[in-house]
Amino acid sequence: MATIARPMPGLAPRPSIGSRIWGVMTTVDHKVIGLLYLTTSMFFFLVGGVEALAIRSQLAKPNQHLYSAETYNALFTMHGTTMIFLVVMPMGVAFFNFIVPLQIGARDVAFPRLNALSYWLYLFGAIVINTGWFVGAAPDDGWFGYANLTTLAYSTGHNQDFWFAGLQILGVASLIGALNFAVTILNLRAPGMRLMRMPVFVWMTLVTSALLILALPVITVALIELLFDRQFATNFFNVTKGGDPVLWQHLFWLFGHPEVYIMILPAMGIVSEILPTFSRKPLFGYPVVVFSGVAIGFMSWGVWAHHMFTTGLGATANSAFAVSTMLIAVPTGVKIFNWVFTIWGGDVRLKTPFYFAIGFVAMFIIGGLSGVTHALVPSDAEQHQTYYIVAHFHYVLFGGAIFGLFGGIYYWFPKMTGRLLSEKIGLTHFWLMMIGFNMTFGPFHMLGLDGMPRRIYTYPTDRGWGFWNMVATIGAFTIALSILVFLINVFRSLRKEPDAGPDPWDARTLEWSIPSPPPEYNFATIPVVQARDPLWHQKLLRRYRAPRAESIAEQQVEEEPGHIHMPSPSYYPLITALGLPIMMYALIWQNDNKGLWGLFVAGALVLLLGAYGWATEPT
Amino acid sequence: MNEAAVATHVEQTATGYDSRKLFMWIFLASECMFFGSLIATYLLYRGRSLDPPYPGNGFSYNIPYTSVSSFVLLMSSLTMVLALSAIQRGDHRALRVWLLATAFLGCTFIGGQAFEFTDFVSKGVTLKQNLFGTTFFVLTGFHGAHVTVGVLMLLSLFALSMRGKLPQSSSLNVELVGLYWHFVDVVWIVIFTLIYLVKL
Amino acid sequence: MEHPVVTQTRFPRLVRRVEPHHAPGQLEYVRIAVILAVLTALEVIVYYPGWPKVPKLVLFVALAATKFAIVAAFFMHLKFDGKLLAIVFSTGLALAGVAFMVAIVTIHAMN
Repeated sequence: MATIARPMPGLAPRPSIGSRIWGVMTTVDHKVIGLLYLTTSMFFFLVGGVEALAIRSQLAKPNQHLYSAETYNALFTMHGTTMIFLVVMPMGVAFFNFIVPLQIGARDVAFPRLNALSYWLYLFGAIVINTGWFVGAAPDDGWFGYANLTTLAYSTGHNQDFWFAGLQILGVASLIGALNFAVTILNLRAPGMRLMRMPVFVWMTLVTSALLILALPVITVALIELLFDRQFATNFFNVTKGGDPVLWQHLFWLFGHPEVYIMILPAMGIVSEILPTFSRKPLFGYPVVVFSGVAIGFMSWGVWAHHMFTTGLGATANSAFAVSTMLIAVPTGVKIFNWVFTIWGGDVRLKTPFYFAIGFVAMFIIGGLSGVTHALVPSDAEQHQTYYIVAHFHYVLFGGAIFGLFGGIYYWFPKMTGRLLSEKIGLTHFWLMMIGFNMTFGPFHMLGLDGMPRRIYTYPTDRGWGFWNMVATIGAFTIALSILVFLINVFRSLRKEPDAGPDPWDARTLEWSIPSPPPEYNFATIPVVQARDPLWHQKLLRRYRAPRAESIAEQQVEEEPGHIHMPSPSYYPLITALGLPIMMYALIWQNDNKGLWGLFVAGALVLLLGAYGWATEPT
Repeated sequence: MNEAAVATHVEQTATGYDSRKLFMWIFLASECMFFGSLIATYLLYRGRSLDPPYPGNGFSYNIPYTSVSSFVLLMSSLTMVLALSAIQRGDHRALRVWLLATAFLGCTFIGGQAFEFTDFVSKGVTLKQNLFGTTFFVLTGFHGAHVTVGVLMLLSLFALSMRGKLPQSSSLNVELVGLYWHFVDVVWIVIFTLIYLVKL
Repeated sequence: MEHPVVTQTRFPRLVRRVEPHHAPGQLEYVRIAVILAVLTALEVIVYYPGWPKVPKLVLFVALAATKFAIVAAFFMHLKFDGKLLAIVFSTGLALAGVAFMVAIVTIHAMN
């Protein structure tokens, strides 16, 4: 264990680039790992965005041929895969990492080295899945890889092998992370932080983790079955031997539906943190919001076949899943009311995080409404595979999740970096993004109901789809401009001197009681929590009962922490993580070259040696 | 006995459970979904193979053989829990004996599986032959892989104990491996029943 | 003699936990193992023809569930640990059972 005495200012040597890189490679600090997740996911947001712009350019006018149809297939496959697995999910995890230990009054997560392993596996998984681009074989059978289109009979290149391999690694990363966060939240809460006193963001992290833990194994098995069909000629999806492609759909969507709640719940948690702070009012109906989140988690298991209404499930199954899908709208709607009532009557401060949170609520309502229309089987039959569906999920995932995540960035950027983002530039970013987003995806509702199918490479002139497609493309480039504005905001702010202080928003939760950015040990003394919104509680107590009592924040600054044992850095997570991509690359190409089984064994050895070193290194 | 001279390390967690133990149980819940998916695939495809051999058409399981195998794995759970009991009492010799016994029984089970697999292959049941071969071998193969990982962990514990690096205060490590091992046994109970015993 | 690590809760008034020293002794473990062996033998007997009245499926599932519960409760110590662990594990188990039964039934209904 590393023992830290708080350093005297000015005496610590400046780290060199080399020691900084080594520091990142061996870090087990949840804050560093959180920043790694945030920057990596932001990078892939740009990658996915470029893929989107390429798609929108191709579809701007009818009968265009900017590039081949095969490339188009790869573009929409990778756009979806990237945005879901390399952006929205990891960006949520970035906040889980940085914020959750701070909000529960802990010094780190329960298993810091496992936390680092999750990040490295995410990075390597992202690299494996994108390797296809560099060898002319990017995955091109859709982000949901429906068998048996993705079996060897119909997908002969290595494209889907990269997809499978990368996803498998990403799945392991997410599973490990979810286990870590579940144990952290259950076990490492500060004294007095009962479950019903936890910030809603922490609750949503817990529910999301539970969903990940139970849903990821199902897609793991689906991917294994697909891999075996492709690499070892098994018959899971081989119709000539009696296999049934619908099995893939059931397994995939058993994972896939909880997956969409995995993507939205963190953003809902963020919104539940932002709205009370900037309304200067506690969250309206906290227990109801928490229970709704848990209810959504439970109910998400009962709706998966609504993605399969056109596969011929039969009237009974169709009706059952239609009803369950309509029911799940209830807890979601409840949350919306709670957010609105939080703002109502509050002393509202119109800052950028608040705008993004309101944006989330408004856009998510629209996306939710189109979702409810899909719950009705006959109308879904009309909407399925059209742009109407594309409109729905972009409204909930971009208008919802991405807006919420950007709200989180503006809200917590001061805590992470010690600097405030510019309000003026922030609002420019918000409005450009809001306008661009609605210009892009609003028309998709019309296009879909007018019959424009999904995943088509081009369309004829006489359909009348040209106008709205052009509007959508202009909207997409407007979004791109807004992201550029955002990046300018970030870089300008990072170059300032730290000016935020510990609590620029006069906020409610424990992370705002420590310096910005936080010291490595987070809290000098573990706080004792007496109420929900513990920081507001403390501030009110001071104002009305004990004006001379020390605030939680002052305790942190004035006390001598003595010696705090923090986990030591370690290179074993990185080494262990390396084993998996090596094994996966071997699997991808072993049908072409049996000698690669040696590489597979080598990868397994790296994995085992890394794990052995990990288990035996002194802590 | 001077209690003050002995350092009892007290950890405080919000639930009262050691974090690693909680982690293991949550992980086992996740493994239920993993094996559930594989078992469901097998059950779904039962009776749907287009080509023989499959149970009921040119092939039948050897129940006595597999029940001996199942018995072996069940007994390994006994030796596992005796190993845990031993380290909790501070009896390191017994710990090592029972750890080895568990690993040995685990290897016997795997050997039995391997023999069963080659027997099935000789009867025409292969991975590629039909739905039965595919679903049976992938399901039991992954179970066998889990058993193998368990054996490796047992032998690692044995090696650690031999080198004096597994003191009584570290009994949780044995308990964690034990939980994993019992789970793998319990999965086999389900597989033995649903796959071997239940006929369609 | 060394003492094992003791884990305590930070919420003594909220969390009720059983103290960790109620584990069965070695003899009890052997007895439990004998019961498990007997149950396995019963399964094999039931497999062969000669049980006309009760459906075999019900017997097999009951025997398997009993063995499962015994291993979980005694060998895995769930009976003596607090409720949280049992809830966590049962959730995974129950979800696996229900979700996959629904999936299989749904697929069968398609044909």
